[in-house]
Amino acid sequence: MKKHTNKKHPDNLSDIGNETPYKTPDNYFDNFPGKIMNRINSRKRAKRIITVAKPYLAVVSIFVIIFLAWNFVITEFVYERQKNQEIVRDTNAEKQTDKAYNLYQTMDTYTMMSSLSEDKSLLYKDSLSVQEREAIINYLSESDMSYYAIASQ
Amino acid sequence: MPELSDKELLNTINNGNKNYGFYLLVTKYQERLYWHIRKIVISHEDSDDVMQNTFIKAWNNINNFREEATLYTWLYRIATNESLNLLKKKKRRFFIPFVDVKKELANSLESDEYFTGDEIQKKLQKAILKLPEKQRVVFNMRYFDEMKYQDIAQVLNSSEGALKASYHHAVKKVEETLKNETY
Repeated sequence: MKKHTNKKHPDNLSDIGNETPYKTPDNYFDNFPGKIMNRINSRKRAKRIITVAKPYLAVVSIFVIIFLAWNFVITEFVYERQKNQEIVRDTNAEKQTDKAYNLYQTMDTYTMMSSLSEDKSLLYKDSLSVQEREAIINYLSESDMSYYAIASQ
Repeated sequence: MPELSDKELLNTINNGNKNYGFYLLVTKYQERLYWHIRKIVISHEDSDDVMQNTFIKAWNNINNFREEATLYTWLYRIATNESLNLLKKKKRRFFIPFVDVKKELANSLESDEYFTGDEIQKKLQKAILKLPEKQRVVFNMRYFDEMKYQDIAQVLNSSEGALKASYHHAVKKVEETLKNETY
């Protein structure tokens, strides 16, 4: 190492010398190897944890993907299909109601009542007993009511 | 603590206790690398960051180290690249041209609490900071670390002739700057 001289007006580099004009904090070089080994070992530990957890994470990810895919299929296809079927059913029922309404509009009250009493769909409802059915038929036959009155009742 | 030769160190790392071998390697080369890095990035905090990155990289790649290069030129090469990368990152982070990075380095030299040199040495450091990046690295390696051109060539992946010319120009520029600023 060249000798450090302290000339005020150096003409060339050899007048200055080549000493490094810096210092480090106290004990920096005593502590650095330990510090770097700690950092390396903590990275190694993190790497090891990732290595151990990797297969489990992969399995969990596969399950999550399957679940999401299944959910997507259910929502997009099965549920949509059911919904479409319900819409078709509702539309058919509406059409039938409209058809019946139009038909009853063309009838006089007596014909309408007879037709309604012949309408087995109402009478065959499971929730009605034989007596109830007869009571409805009698009521409808005896009353002189318009279609709208019956509908409102 | 025993100071092993490079061959013994590599043998311990590869075939014995990697942790212990590497600990010895860090102990052996830390000072030389630190001063090399410090002269490039100037501040102690940045030097410490670069030192850590250098040794982490060395740890990750030590198994691939081939003995056609010497261990210390290999470490110097990593340290030089890491130091220059840090300066590049600074430039990107602040969107400032390289000239201003040099200005920033000169400022941190001015306020560096770990600078122990006198006024002349400070002027010399500032003059060195005015050199182009690669020339500055060549100058530091040759002038302060007294490295052989052959070793510098290995570190910087350059020819000895080009390095001699680069050093010659660097010395001229530094002396010129010193003359202009002293008188």
